[in-house]
Amino acid sequence: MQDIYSQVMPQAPYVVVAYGLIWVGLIGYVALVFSRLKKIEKEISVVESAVKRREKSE
Amino acid sequence: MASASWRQFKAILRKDLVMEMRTHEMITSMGLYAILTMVVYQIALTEAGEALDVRLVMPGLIWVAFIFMSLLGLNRSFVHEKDQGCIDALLLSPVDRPVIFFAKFSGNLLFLLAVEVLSLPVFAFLFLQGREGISNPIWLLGVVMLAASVGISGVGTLLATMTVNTSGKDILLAVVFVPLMYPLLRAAVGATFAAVIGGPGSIETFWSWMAWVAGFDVIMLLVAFGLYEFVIGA
Amino acid sequence: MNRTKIARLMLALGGVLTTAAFFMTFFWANASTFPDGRIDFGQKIFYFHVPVAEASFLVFFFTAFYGVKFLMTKDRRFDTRAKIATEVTLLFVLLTMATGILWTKVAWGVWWLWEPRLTTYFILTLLVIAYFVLRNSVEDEERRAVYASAFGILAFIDAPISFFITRWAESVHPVVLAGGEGSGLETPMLITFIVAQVGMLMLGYAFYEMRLHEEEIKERLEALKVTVGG
Repeated sequence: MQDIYSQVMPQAPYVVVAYGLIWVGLIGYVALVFSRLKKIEKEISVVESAVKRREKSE
Repeated sequence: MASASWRQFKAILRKDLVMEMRTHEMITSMGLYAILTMVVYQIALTEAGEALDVRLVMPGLIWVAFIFMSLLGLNRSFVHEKDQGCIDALLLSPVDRPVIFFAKFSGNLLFLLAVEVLSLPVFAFLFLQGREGISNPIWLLGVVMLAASVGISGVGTLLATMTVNTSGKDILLAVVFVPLMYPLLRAAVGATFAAVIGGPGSIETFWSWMAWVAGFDVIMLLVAFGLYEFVIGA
Repeated sequence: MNRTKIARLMLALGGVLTTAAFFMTFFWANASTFPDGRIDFGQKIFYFHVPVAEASFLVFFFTAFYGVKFLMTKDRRFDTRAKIATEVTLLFVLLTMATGILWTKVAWGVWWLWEPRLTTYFILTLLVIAYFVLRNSVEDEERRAVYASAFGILAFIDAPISFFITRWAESVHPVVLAGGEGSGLETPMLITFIVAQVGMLMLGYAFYEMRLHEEEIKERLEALKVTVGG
């Protein structure tokens, strides 16, 4: 067991960073797109209700 | 029809050549640029001194000079067309789009080859005196220069037509052109190296690199030719 | 089932599969060993580096594909698709580069080597970036679409070169899945890899659809704003 640790440990940081970057990249991208989508959807509902109000008043 | 296209082709090419005859702008600016590049090479190589066999880096150095020279020429050639409204007039006239492509491509190719042929002896004069010359027959160098310049001018004509209409112009041309040219340049440097250094098997190496150059030329020219019609009208 | 729902499903499935592959990588797949019997822990990077690289080639194909479609039809929706495909390509290319560089350091002892595969992939990265530089410097929308399509098609030529270069040229980059002597994987390793690959492709598809959905709503919003404003 000690032996395995001594073999794995020197390489571990690189593997950890590699997987960290992958997860951060993928999840970050999804989060970014979803947050933008939410914002646009909110905006669109505001504009849509404005359109409806105008149609009623006309 | 074919003869009409041929006449149009000659007319456009002649226009570029005549303009060059009068102003000497392309050849002088590209030639000076090549010489300036060599001054910079001198700075880069100076500390290495005699220890460095210049022939080992020469293939790379000349292609660096040629690629940046071609960027300069391509950009000039289309800035003229645009500034003087030439390209609009060409598009209004009943000239086939492929003819425009081949005429501009031929013009750019001629200028590039002319400056390459002029600057190669200058390079040899400045860097190769008192050293071994070129090991294999010198016409092999001519073959690489011709073949690679065809690819450079073909893709360059297409890209310069695009970038002249952008806000980046010459910077943007470099950004899109140099990475696209990577496979061609790599093969051209490989072939040039085989021609310059020589040794057993170098002729075979030369032709196997040339196969890459030729393959790249064919694919890139076909694609560039196919895309030109869309790009020039946009 | 509409496209958005499929995209969400794909996103969930892709997430599950990649997460599963992540655990399989560390708890199930056999440890790779060096010829002298020591454990090659750095090899674990392979299970995500290769899937994301393959996905980047595949998604980049759609840049060229929709570029051709745009030029044939002049329908702006295809240009939007090409743009989104290139955006997903950029994400995958950057992840491939990052994991690749880390693996290079583990396996070869250096961060970077001018080796055919690395070089051509680096060129691919530059081309993907250049695609966006080109887009950003063209004002006119129609013209931007045409130029971007043309450049996307030209740039894609580097993708097969980069993909096959390890088979053509002398390259120290490993070719694990090509068959032949010394290549190939043991079953648990292969299954882990396939799960990661399928998951990554699903994620790629989901990203693409999500972004497309976003662009479509954006367009609807612009149209609505015009109605309100006008």
